[in-house]
Amino acid sequence: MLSEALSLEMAIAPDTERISTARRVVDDLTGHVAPGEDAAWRLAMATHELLENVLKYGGPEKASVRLDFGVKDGARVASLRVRNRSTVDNIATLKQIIGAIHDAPDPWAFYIAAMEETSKRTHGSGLGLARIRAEGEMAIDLALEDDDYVCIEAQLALEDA
Amino acid sequence: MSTTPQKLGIHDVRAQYFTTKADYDGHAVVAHLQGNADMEAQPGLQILLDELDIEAQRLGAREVVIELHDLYFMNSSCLSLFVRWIGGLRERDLSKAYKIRFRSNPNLRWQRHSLRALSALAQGFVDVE
Repeated sequence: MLSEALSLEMAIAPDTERISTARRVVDDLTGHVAPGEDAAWRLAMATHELLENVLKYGGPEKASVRLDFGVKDGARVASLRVRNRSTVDNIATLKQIIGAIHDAPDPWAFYIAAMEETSKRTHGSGLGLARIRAEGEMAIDLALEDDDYVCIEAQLALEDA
Repeated sequence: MSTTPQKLGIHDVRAQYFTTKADYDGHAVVAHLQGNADMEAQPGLQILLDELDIEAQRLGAREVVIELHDLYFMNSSCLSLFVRWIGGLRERDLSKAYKIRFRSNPNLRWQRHSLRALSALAQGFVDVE
């Protein structure tokens, strides 16, 4: 259980400009909360990737973005959650990708393998979630609410203060 | 020996938050990327990479330099364009291939991690400085 010390919540109808704005907000806030770490760009990158997924595959409703800084099991963590309405097909795809990420023993090997797959495709990247796991060094999970709302959580362990 | 600069068939990208400019110095084609490479930048970046490849081959350039000093962010969709470019180079006859050199900015942390991934994929075709 995350004991929350600081939280930020945004509701966004994603477009390219608002996604960049949200990324900068998360970057700036995290830079103050966890200075001197890679945490700011990791969480900012994850915010951007998750919101672009909403823009590409989600419904027209606003997505909610929630960022919590706190303590879990005695360690400092940041939790980023992006929640939006989606379709059965897109939720199934997300479940499949996140399941594969969970099953992969080496996040970097999984990421490079995903790049190999991408290099053979002409459209789409499919790299966003693998990038959050490997470059961002974040744990990823998915939760469903009311069948058609999906919440993806990316959790980052912060260095001790 | 002086080299007369050749005219490049590479269009500058002028998006709202993403711009590019390319030059040829007689050895390498150099592309400067500025701003944020996100969804808005993706179509222009795709055209740039296609044109860089065509021109590097036409000029017999040994290297294509991607100057990233002022590129503040790149999303995974734009990263995938570099992945496909590198994938295409790997399949090419070595005598027709060129190297890609990324000039990075150590103050921009995304570059260290994303360029590490591209280097791992490239197997010798990519240098990062």
